[in-house]
Parts: sequence; structure tokens; C-alpha cells
Amino acid sequence: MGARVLQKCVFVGLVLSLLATGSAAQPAPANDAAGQRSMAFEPGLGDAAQERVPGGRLVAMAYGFVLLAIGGYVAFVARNAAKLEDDVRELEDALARRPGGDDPR
Amino acid sequence: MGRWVLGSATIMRWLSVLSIFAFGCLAVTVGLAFGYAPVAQLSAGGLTQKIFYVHVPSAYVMYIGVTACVAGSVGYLAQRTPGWDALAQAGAELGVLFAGIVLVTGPLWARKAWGTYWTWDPRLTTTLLGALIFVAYLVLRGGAGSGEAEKRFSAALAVMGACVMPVIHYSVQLWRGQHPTVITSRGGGLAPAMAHTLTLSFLAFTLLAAVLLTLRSRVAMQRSKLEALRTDAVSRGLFDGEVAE
Repeated sequence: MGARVLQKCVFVGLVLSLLATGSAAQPAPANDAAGQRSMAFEPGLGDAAQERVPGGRLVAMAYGFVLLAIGGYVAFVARNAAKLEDDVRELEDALARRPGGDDPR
Repeated sequence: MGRWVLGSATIMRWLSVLSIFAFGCLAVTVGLAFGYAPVAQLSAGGLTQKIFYVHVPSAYVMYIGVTACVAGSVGYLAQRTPGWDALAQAGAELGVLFAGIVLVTGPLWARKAWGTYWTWDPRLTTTLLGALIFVAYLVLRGGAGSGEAEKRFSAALAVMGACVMPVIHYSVQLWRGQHPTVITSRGGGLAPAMAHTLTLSFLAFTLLAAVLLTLRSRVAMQRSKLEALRTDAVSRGLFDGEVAE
């Protein structure tokens, strides 16, 4: 695929994004879908005692997953960064020891 | 771009400070969510409404990731420099990670608030679709090699795929579904303690996004530097024609 075709793809993508944003951002009528489903979060006094589905377990699972996902990703990226830095340094040293690359082998 | 990401010691020091601050803010957010913000009414999910403090900022970081990916992709297509490509990769990974968090935490909240883990609500469906597009991007980057053509294909895919982002954002306003709108000019709202907790959560997630984007871009830059060094080493007979992994 040539660069021109790719540039056209990018252009089409940008135009579609603009169209999607523009059409979606039209002023909505007063009783639109969002207006009907808008919700205020307020303190529910005494509601916790009436809960039938165990909310604590779901909250613990959600927070546990978030911390695990973010922590795991940070550890993964940090480990990769350290390993790559070592590899780059090692290779740079090796190349510095052989200026010109005149390998005796 | 690339020089800035690789510009070693000072950037790493700032990143360390920023990441400590980000995790500190995250820890305080969790503390506030459980110790300061009240339990919401049952129609909002009761106790599970506390998922809100990580669910919404995660969606916001997903948008940041995708925006970075598109910016990097457009930059790469225009200039063909590894720095832009690194930003695109980092953004896509960040977008997918946080889309995953949104798609896991949302259903856990929905189980309580709606009585079901999943429903084909427009926002849920479009978010899943958007996540899958950027998963495809990562699969393409990971599986198809790191040649010039793959990078250009991926960049085009990212730019085209980002079209779904405005659709996700406005889906709650355009179509009927179950997903509520809380932060809107037409109704909704938050109790003050909930708003404070959410604000801090946004700050924590923004800092985290900045740290992760920089760190991941740095890894991508180091990888392309390593590849260039290996090519150089092979051409100078260091590996005797064999590239070490």
C-alpha cells in the first residue's frame, strides 16, 4: 500500500471523527435520552442495611482488579525498561570496544 | 520528541517523583472513597456506587491514551520518526489497559445497580468495540513485526479506529440505554463529598497516565534504539550474522 493511500485513510478517518463529533454534539431536545437518564448520586441514608446483592464483594473485586491491573502494568513496563537499558548499554559497550567492526574472526 | 523521552537522568527523576505522587493520590482517593464519601442511594447501586471513583477516571484515561495514540500516529505518518511511533504505541497500550478496567469495573457495578453484569447498552457496546479496535492495533504491532509498512498500517488503523471515540462519548445522549449520565449540564449531580473524591481521583489518574505514557514511550524508544544497535553490530560483524535476542 502506497503512502498516498495511507494518507487518504488518515484523511477519511479524521473527517469521520469530525463528522461523528459534530453530529453528536448537536443541541439535543429538552427531553432527550441523556436528560431522561440523568441521575444524581446522593447519600442513601440507611440504604446499606437493605442491600440484597452483596455490594462489598463487588466493590472489593473492582478495586482489587484496578490495583492489580495498574500495579501489574507498572511492574511490567519498569521491568522491560530496566532490561532494555541493560541490553542497550551492553551492546553500546561491545560496539565501543570494536571501533570500525574489524572482526578478527 | 524522541530525545525528550530518552533524555535520561532528569526525566527519570521527575518520573519517579511524579509516580510516587500519583500513587499517593490514588491511595488517598481509595481512603476518601471508603472513609469520606457517603454510600449512595440504592438506585445508584448503594455501596457499589463507590466503583464510580475508579470507573469514570479510567474511562477518561482511556480517552487520553487513544488521543496520544492518534497524535503519535499522525505525527509518525507525517515525519516517520521513532519518537512519534513510540508515543502511538504507548497511547494504544494505555487506552487498552484502561478500557479493560472500564469494561471490568462497569459490569461489577451494573450487577448491583441494574441486576445484570452486561447489557448491550449503546455506551457499553461502543466501548467494547473501541477497545477491540485498539487490541487489534496492539496485535498488529506485536505480531506483524516492526517494519516500516507495519508501522504505517498501524498508524492508519489507529487514526481510523479513533472515529469510534466521539461515538462512545455521545452515545448516552444520542441513544436510549441504561447507562446513566451524572456529570452533565442537564440534570444529575454529585453530593459534595463525592465530588471532592472524584476530583482527587481524576488528578491521580491524570498523573498516572502521564507517568505511564512517558515510561512506555521510553521503553518503545529504547527498543528501537536496541534494534538499530543490533543492525549496526551485525553490519560490523559483532554477532557474525546472528542477532542475539
